Amino acid sequence: MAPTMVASAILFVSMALLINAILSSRALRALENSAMDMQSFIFLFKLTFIIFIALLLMLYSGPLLVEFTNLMNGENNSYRLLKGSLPYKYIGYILGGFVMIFGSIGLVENKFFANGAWLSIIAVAVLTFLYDVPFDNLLLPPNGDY
Amino acid sequence: MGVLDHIWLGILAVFTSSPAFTIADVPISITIVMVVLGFLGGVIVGATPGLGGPFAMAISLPILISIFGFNADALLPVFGFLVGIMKGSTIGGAVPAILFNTPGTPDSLMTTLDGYPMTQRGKSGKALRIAHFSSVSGDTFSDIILITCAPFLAIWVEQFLDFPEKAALIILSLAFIAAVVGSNVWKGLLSALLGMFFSYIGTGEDSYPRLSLGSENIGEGLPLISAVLGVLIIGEILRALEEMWRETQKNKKITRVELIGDQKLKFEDIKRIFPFISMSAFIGTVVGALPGIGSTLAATLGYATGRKVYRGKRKFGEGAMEGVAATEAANSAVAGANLIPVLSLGIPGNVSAVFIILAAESIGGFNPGPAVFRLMPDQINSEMVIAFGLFTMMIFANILNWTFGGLFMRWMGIMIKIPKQKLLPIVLLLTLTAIYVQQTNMFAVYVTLFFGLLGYLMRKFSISPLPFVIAYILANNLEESMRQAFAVTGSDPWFLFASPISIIFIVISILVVIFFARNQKDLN
Repeated sequence: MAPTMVASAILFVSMALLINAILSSRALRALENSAMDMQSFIFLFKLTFIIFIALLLMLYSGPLLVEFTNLMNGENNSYRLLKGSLPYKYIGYILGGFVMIFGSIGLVENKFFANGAWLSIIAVAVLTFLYDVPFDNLLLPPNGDY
Repeated sequence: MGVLDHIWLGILAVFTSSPAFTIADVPISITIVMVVLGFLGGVIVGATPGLGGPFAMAISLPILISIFGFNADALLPVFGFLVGIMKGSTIGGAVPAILFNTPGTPDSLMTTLDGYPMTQRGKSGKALRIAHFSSVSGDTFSDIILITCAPFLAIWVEQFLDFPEKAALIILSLAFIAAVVGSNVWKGLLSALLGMFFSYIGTGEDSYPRLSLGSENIGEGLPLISAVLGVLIIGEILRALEEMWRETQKNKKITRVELIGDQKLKFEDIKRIFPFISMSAFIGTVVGALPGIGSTLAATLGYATGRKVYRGKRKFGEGAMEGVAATEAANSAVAGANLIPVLSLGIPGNVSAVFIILAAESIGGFNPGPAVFRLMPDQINSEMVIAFGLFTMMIFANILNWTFGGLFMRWMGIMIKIPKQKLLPIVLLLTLTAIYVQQTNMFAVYVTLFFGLLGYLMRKFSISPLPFVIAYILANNLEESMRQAFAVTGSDPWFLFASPISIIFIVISILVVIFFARNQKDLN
């Protein structure tokens, strides 16, 4: 019952906001000067793309590397077994984290500088050290999911 | 056990439990170490434009919980670090505002008005000292009010409020927060209602979880930390990144000014600024005690009041030291008073208080609310001991602030050199990592990003995210109180109107919304 009541209240408040905008004849002006213009959508699209690629790398770099190693050495290991050992333990987080930081810096600065890449590498290394090295019980992404 | 016994146990718990190391055979407890580390970290993040206390609290909370674990012994060290950040960031925010005309935190915006002109006149050292002195004075005053008022308010609430009144009180708090935060009452209400709606996902007393759409992950409920950090931190990062992206398109550059001048704070200066500090400390404390009204409004009110009574030669806004004092005392006085509704009612009033509640909920063993100060005959109330431990840590952090804070704060001018466009992507990854290590599930990361997008859109449409977060935290308490009130009144559907106190709370809730809605109309 509580969600239904809250959803009804959301509908009521949204209608009140809409009617208020129409009555004060600000609706058209508000649409013209909307906070979400085309630039916002372009920015969101670009950033979403960067984060999407970063998360893909984070999730699948480790398992893909295991598959590649299996193929090269004729073994039959799984990522679940190897996720505690190097380099599988860190590869997803480091690659995904690097793309997230370097991509976001490049997007905002409109250029991809070498110092941005170095900073991203250092930042990911520091974060890996901060979370993983001192604590045995913490799992970096995506190792808890496997 | 009496109140004094609990106070003494609280002090002992802070200073003697779990020694981290010894100095000249004197054991130094881990809690004290955490307050010091939090304080230093708070000054650093406060002085870093684009960051602030909430960022540091958000990032450090999962790490702290991982270090100290999920047991009652973890509460004081974790709270100590959060209190340290809270105290440190309030003074740190003034540094970039005074030196570089760039407020480190939103509530330091008014500090730029007189602080930066003082820097331009070569008085930056004096401006920083005034900011520090005023900030710490306001904070100390606010803490004294917290320590003396919160227990009595809690006892009053516990004595006079039953379930219907408690439900009505939560409704009043939510209505007040929705009405006073942000530019529009309806938008505030929308924000609070959205927070309530999302908090109901995966909950309920039915045999199946509510609103789960058949998903097992959603059925377990959305992680509280993902919702809070998503809306508050990721949403803000997305907004700030877009702002900088737009600036880069226009080739705008941040202007920089050389740091010059260094003058001491003299006794005559203190005499001049003291009336302004007193007024602002009072304003900040009153504003801080009301849920939802943040330090930015306190700073604005303190500054505006100071300007009205000021009769000096140099006008406010042209580098008057009284202007810096009025702003800094007001925004810092909010910090302590903001914990009054948390500790006495269990209602978080601002972002820092949200993180105290988040830490308490994550660790367990401490439920902020009126029951904290309940005295039990021949028994120790461990929650009251922790509450007095919290007060002790706040006093200790204030002592740090008075002694080393000023010096450390003046060193932090260097933080302005860290470019925001490089820092925020790192904070983005740091926040997502912090959430993952606590939840160990990519679903929590996706939920955080979803709430981040929601927080970004709310900011774009001038909808404050604070009512959302507070309603998200309180929604289940409200539902629980309502269920219990319904049961104790014998299934009376009008239980909210069953007693004079709950009627008064409901009437005030309606009046608050109408008053601020009308006021908004006038402003328009």
